[in-house]
Amino acid sequence: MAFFLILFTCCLLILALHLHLKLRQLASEPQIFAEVAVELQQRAHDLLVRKDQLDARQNSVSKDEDEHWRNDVAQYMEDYEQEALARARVHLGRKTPSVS
Amino acid sequence: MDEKFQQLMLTLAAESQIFLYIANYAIVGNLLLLVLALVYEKKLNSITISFFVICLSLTMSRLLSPLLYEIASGPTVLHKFAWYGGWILINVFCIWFIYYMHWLQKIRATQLSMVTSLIFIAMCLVQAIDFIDRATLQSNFFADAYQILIAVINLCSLPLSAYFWLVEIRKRQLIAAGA
Repeated sequence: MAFFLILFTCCLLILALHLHLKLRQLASEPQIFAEVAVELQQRAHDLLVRKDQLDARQNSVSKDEDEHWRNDVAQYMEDYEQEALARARVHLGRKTPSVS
Repeated sequence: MDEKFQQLMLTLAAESQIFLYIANYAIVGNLLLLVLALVYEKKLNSITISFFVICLSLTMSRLLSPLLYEIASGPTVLHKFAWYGGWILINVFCIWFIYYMHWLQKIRATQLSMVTSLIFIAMCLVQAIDFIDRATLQSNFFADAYQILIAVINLCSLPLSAYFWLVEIRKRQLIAAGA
């Protein structure tokens, strides 16, 4: 009887450790990038809406407007990357960012 | 063995004033921290989840401890297991709740949430060691250590969580300054 109870206690301990390790995984680099993506979601959404509008009136679209949109996308991508790398450096205590 | 256990229960009951005082202090302090965090953060994130779970566990322990006392005063090993197993189950539930909320909301786990889950693991470990000692060796060696350790962990959790919250705010400032 006591043996099974001790076994059950050990199982619960292992379960607790397992859950803790899974929680630790949520602090890793992909999660940092996902967090930045969520925070920049409004900007990404605006960019997508503008792309849709440009596509809808494809014939009459001016070169200028398309160029402007591309610049904005490039700017967004750079901001996203920079922000995520800065956060990875601070949160994961890393000197040089890993190449991913 | 059973007499020893009853004695432990009696000593626990005699010193319960101190435990009650500590529990009150911890609950009031953690509730204040939770309110402060909610006012400062203004949203559901890792910090507020951690403080919420700490408050939840303290409230549950306050509500369930009289019931568990009553069950644990029974004679067999199963009654003892109800006491220790009950606490371990509550702690495992708290760890699972922290993990589940992070997973559900797709939130990054901060150092604070990991320290919180480590505190719960430490609690589980202390309970398990004392139960195994009580069920096998009956050396009663851990009885004193058990009482002191649980109280110390309860006391330490408040300043620890406050410290790691400040660390998180400092990191945010670093990121805003360009890291």
